Amino acid sequence: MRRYSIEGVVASIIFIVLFGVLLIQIFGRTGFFDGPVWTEEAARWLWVWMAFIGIAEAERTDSQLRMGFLADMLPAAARRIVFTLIDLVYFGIVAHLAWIGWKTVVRTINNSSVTLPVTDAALYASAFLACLLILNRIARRILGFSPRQTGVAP
Amino acid sequence: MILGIVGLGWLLMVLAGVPIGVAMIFVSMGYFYHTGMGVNFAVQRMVDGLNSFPILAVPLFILAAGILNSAGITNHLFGFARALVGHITGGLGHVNVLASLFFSGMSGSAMADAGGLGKMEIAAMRKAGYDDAFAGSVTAASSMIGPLVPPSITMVLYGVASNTSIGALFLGGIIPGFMCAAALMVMVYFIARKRDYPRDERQTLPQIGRLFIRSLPALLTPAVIVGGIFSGWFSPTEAAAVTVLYAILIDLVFYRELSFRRLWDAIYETTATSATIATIIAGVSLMGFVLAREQAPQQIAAAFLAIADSPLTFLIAVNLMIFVLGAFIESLVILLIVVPILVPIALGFGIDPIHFGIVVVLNLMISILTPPMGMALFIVAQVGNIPYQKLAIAILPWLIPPIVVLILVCAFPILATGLPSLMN
Repeated sequence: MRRYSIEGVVASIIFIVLFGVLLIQIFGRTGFFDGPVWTEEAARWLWVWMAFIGIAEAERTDSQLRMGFLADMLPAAARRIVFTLIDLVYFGIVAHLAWIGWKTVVRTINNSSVTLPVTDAALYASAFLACLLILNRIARRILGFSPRQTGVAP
Repeated sequence: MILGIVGLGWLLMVLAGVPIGVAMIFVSMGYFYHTGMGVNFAVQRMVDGLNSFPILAVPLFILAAGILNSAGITNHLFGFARALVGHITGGLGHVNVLASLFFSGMSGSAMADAGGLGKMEIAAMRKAGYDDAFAGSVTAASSMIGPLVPPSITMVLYGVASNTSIGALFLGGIIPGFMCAAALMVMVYFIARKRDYPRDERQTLPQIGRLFIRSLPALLTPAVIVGGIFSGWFSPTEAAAVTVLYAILIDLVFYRELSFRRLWDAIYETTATSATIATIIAGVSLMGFVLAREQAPQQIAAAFLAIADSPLTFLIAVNLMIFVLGAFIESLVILLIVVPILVPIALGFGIDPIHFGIVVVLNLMISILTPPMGMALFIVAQVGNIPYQKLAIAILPWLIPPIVVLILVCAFPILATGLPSLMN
């Protein structure tokens, strides 16, 4: 498996920008310069974007927090079936969430953010985009293009 | 009835291998499909659950710990701890606990302690002749100090979930954190004396002084965090950003071990780790709606009120519940789902929210040591290459010191509320 992915790199860059925004907020209040009012909202939105895009990376590396007590006791073939079934349900639900996410974007397109010069839809678009990226990763796992890290061969 | 199905469904999915946060999304969506309610707002709820400024402290504190580990600052802390207490009976056992205490002042995560310091500590103990079970148990047990001494990711999440001052929680954890360290060192001493474990030669004062000066910039981190918050310079989230900046600066000026590549990797890993926590928070946001709609808080409150008639009996009941749940369920889930339901009941009994928070966090940290689902045990077994079953049995006596501290903190609230009151 590749060490880096486009989702991971984008999420990491967002994290760096978020860190920069927080520094502007902190130093802007300490007298070095006049702090802008948008930093807190920008930081929150960047975190949401970073988190959602990062979930796609966590899916790529199959590193979501799990217990799998019962699954671990199953033989490898049965485990593979269980994990494939889980992924199929996961795919269906995330596909529906992508659709709901898109409808949320459309619904909030005319809502203005409090301090940022953009619409609220820009916040909810993070979930929509992340759902598409997650779908890609789940599909690749189901089709055997990317390895499972949970001890089960694809 | 529906509540039982939701709970059981979630538990079965988790045991079958569905990721914890994803299982919450599954059962919540199942509930929405069944009742026909809430489904159109599912994404909005998840986004709004994450859209919180205090939660931002979580990835930043994870990053700070990652930078400190990548920069090799943990080596200096271990060296200083070894010079200080390595000569006492049970030498490296004490070093293990003390290094965790030092590290806890920079990292808010028990997992970062177990994974970062753990490998080095177990290797050193093995080399010195300690057996694997002892080395692994001390490493796992001492990692629970991390979230008690500021900064603390668990306390940030408790503060968010219960609307309690995160700064006051940070202060409240200091005394119980030191008590846990002391209790574990007493345990190390008696076991080491019985088994005749080796110890280092005593270091001279100039040697200790040199190592102290080398470690001082890292040791000052909690002072920067707590001092910054209580002087009004920054909020806990901003303190987390300052901790990251401070970790980078002290490496640039003093340690010079952090390459650009290592920094990038620390950021990259933090992003993925934070995303797994974000999945749980998003899942909790959905499941929280389901629980509220099914009046779970009222039902749980009624159950507690039926068995508890005083603050102490309530605390005993809560502790027993968390202890049992913690053996099977990830502490983060208990923190985000169960605790917000319990806080109003605790307030109703007149329990200080800071006191309740410290009790809960302390108990949750015990739960990461409790088999079969002790997260710290999984990590220590992995980094130390120790069979999990062996560690799961060896850890059992090591639960006694933190449980004794938990009982003391329950019985004497001032241990948790004393420092915050003093600062106020």
